[in-house]
Amino acid sequence: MPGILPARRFEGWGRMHDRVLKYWLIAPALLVIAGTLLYPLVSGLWYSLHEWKLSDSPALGPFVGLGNYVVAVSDDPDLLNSGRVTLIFTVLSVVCTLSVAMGLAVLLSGNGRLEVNARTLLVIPFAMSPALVGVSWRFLLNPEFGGFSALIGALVPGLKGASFLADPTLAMAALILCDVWHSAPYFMLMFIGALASLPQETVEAAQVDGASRIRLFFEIVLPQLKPVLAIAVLLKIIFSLKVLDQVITLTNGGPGTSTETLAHFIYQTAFRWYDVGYAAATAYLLAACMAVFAAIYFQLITERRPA
Amino acid sequence: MTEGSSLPGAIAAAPRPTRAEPVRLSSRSRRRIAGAARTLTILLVILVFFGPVVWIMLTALKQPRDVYSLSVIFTPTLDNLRTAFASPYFLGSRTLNSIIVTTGTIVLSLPIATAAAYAFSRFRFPGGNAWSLGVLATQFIPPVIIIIPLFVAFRSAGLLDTRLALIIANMSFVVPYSIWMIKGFIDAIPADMEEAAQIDGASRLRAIWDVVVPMAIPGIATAAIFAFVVSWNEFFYALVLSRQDAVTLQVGLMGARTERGDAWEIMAAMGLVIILPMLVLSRYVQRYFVAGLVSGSVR
Amino acid sequence: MASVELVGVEKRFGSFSALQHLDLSVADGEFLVLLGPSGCGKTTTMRMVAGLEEATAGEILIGGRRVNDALPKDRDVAMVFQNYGLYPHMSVAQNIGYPLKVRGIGGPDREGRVKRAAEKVELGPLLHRKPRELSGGQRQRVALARAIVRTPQVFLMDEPLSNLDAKLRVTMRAEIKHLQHELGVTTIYVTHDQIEAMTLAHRVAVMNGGVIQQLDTPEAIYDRPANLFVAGFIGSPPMNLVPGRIAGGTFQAPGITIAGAFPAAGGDVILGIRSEDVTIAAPGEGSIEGQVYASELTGEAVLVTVSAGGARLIARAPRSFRGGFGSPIALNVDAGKIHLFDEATGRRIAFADRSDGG
Ligand SMILES: Nc1ncnc2c1ncn2[C@@H]1O[C@H](COP(=O)(O)OP(=O)(O)OP(=O)(O)O)[C@@H](O)[C@H]1O
Ligand SMILES: [Mg+2]
Repeated sequence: MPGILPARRFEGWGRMHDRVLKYWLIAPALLVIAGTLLYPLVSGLWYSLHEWKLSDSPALGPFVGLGNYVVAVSDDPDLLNSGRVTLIFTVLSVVCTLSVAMGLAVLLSGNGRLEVNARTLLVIPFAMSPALVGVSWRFLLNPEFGGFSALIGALVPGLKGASFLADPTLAMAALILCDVWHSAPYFMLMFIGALASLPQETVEAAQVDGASRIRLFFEIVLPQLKPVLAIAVLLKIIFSLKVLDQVITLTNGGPGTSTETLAHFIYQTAFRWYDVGYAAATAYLLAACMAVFAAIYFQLITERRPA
Repeated sequence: MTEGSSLPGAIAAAPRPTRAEPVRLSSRSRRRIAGAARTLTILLVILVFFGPVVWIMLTALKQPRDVYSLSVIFTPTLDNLRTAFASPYFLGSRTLNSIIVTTGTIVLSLPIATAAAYAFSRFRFPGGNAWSLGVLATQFIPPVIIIIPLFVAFRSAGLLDTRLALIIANMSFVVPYSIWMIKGFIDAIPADMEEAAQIDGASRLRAIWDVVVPMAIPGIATAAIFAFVVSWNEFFYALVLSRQDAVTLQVGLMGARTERGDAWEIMAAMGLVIILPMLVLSRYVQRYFVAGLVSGSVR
Repeated sequence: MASVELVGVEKRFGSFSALQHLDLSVADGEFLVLLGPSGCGKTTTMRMVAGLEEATAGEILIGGRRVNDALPKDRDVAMVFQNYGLYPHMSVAQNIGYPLKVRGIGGPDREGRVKRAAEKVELGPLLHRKPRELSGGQRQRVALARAIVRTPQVFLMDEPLSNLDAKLRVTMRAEIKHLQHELGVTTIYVTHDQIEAMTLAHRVAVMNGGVIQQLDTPEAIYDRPANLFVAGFIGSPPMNLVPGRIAGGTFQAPGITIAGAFPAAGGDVILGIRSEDVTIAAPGEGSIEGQVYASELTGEAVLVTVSAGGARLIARAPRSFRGGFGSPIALNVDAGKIHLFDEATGRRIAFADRSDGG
């Protein structure tokens, strides 16, 4: 197909040739993407090369080259702390979410009434806004009248009356709990889909061979789920790296900076301290981390679906 | 679709290969105990995952003094909702803003996304499928990067604290994801029908409208549910871009944090309004939104 | 109604060349059949006439007008798709009526025409069904009705009968032939069923590998195949082809000697003879001696495969023929029905006493 557009008059939509029409069809979408994603991406990069306090001036400040990046990687204990928090949160939330999700998938993949209804109910936490999830858990974990903290208090006597959001370690635990509660159902549905598409014969053969259910799961089922699991891990890493809404509404980074994730740090820098240039630079550092995982993710999905 | 799925029996329920068991009674009762344990576990799972939702909804209907007790039995009241609708919480106008922003996002995004999805599905572009993959790749840009320049741009355009700004910001993720979802559906529709329509005398656009769109309705509906859920739940862009007039339900939640501490009953009332549509749509949310997301990310 | 002409048309998909320099002209009102094996470019040719595919090179003319750049909707053709191409969300009546709807024909006029078209293909009682509630054959008839609901310049039919059962296929074949005659619309019809081609066509274009091998009347194609491909493709069973030499006016191959009015200086050739032009004789009484390799009853005759020398030939014997595997047998060929092909080029060799031009 010749890629050159012939110069021709506009002849009306109905008469337009496919060679021209196809560009008109994608034009609005490209406009949206260019305006709301590409433009911010490029100008954000530009901002990151400047010192710019939005509170002082609405115009871009002086050019500082890579200055912001240099400060960020060499001389910012707060950022370092956020990196550490993000790392801990990401590792724990990925592991917990996916294990819980896998457990739920195994438990709820049947077609009984109870299972089907449970699946429908479990979608609600995922369909709830992350902001509301954070608020709700803030309430549920309240030491005096929170339903959940009462439940935990009854189960683990040591935590009776504990003030979850006032203790650095417990606050991180709360953040992870809240995230697992929110996102495990999504991955559960993903795993249930994958389980359903396993060839039934492999399982039956192992059953006939007399494998126990535990062995069956770990030796037959799990290995076959590897591709899906890989994708789930990558997606969850990406989701965890950019977690923000719940942080704002659950802990707001506290107590102190013990739950201040990178995204939250950037948000605070930009919209609390109005240090836009520095915020943009740190945002790019975060984006670089995510890009690594996103690249692997794309590698995986294009491999599985040769286009 | 997850409804029809079932895990091979051995792991879920238990029809094991029947073989002559020497001690039949005991094995049967063992199985019964296992079944009961499973049921109990499922109930516990439901309690953990759905209990909090119920708790929030109950709290919304409690008298303030019951909120601060753990009681489950109480006289329901609409007082909290009434308070929430009044100053300074303005639940009414927040809800209206949410509805307008959500509807606006859907109405603007879907036609744009459908047109692009069709083009990506049917035509070849120089550069191959880098285009449609690129569209998806934009979704891995962290929102904190996007929001800074958007904030600056909206500020200089005088669009801060307007619903239009929120709609535009929402389109940044709704349009690309919808393109990807709808394209999957259109890919599965053979080209014969629209070719037949063109030979029958329809222009390409008319063929799209008469033939492709009606057949892509399930895909468009999936994208619509997705757009609804994510726009309705959007918090961060709205938090940064709104002050007073355009504040949505999600951001309104923050308003219930007063100097006197958190007004839980108000937050719960707002939470109720936020969750209600999800409950009403939960069947579709499961079938279309989650299924769409899952297939979009795994396939 | 209009003529259709393809002048030097080429089609490439990427680096793959699907059609090479195609010249084809279909007269006004003519019924032309494109016949060839799967993948030879029949559908591609048709789609280019319809405007669904762009020609890489060459010109396409409908009614003398160059249409290379015209949109499908402006070419005024009707097409029956290989996989029907019905609109699944519309009823049968809406499907048939769609070409009229697009042209702004509505109301009772449309209804009447839809009804008449549906009756022609015996779909009257099914008008309110959706395509998914129809059998394959019924769907195909809806596609036909949609094509004939208006009178276009050209009909394009891509294997419109391929999904019908044998009986319905015969009925519909007659129906199509009658319809085309009645409407007088120029028709291009794709099939890989020879019987369909022979019975329907005014002329047949035999295609292979993106090239037209022969374009002629069905009789001519059967009686005077232009090359080895056509000879082997047309006819069931395919023509017997025996490689050999002509020397001194006789054809010689291992174990086979046939005398006839062959050209004196022959050289290496391939001799072709159809099974119905081969007769069976008692051993020792024919020009070809061999053994029975297999015999198959087709219903009205018995096809006897004979191995003679290095070759195998099929003869059509009366259904009373009995001969066990391996029993000796002799064959005679009707010298007037022999075809010769150049071994190197595969082309037909015309020779003296035959009236054909080759
Ligand atoms: N869109 C396309 N891209 C690449 N190759 C194609 C395309 N369409 C057709 N071809 C190739 O062109 C050749 C001709 O295809 P065409 O569909 O015309 O065959 P056909 O004669 O109609 O066969 P059949 O009898 O099986 O329908 C085939 O080798 C096919 O693989
Ligand atoms: Mg074909």
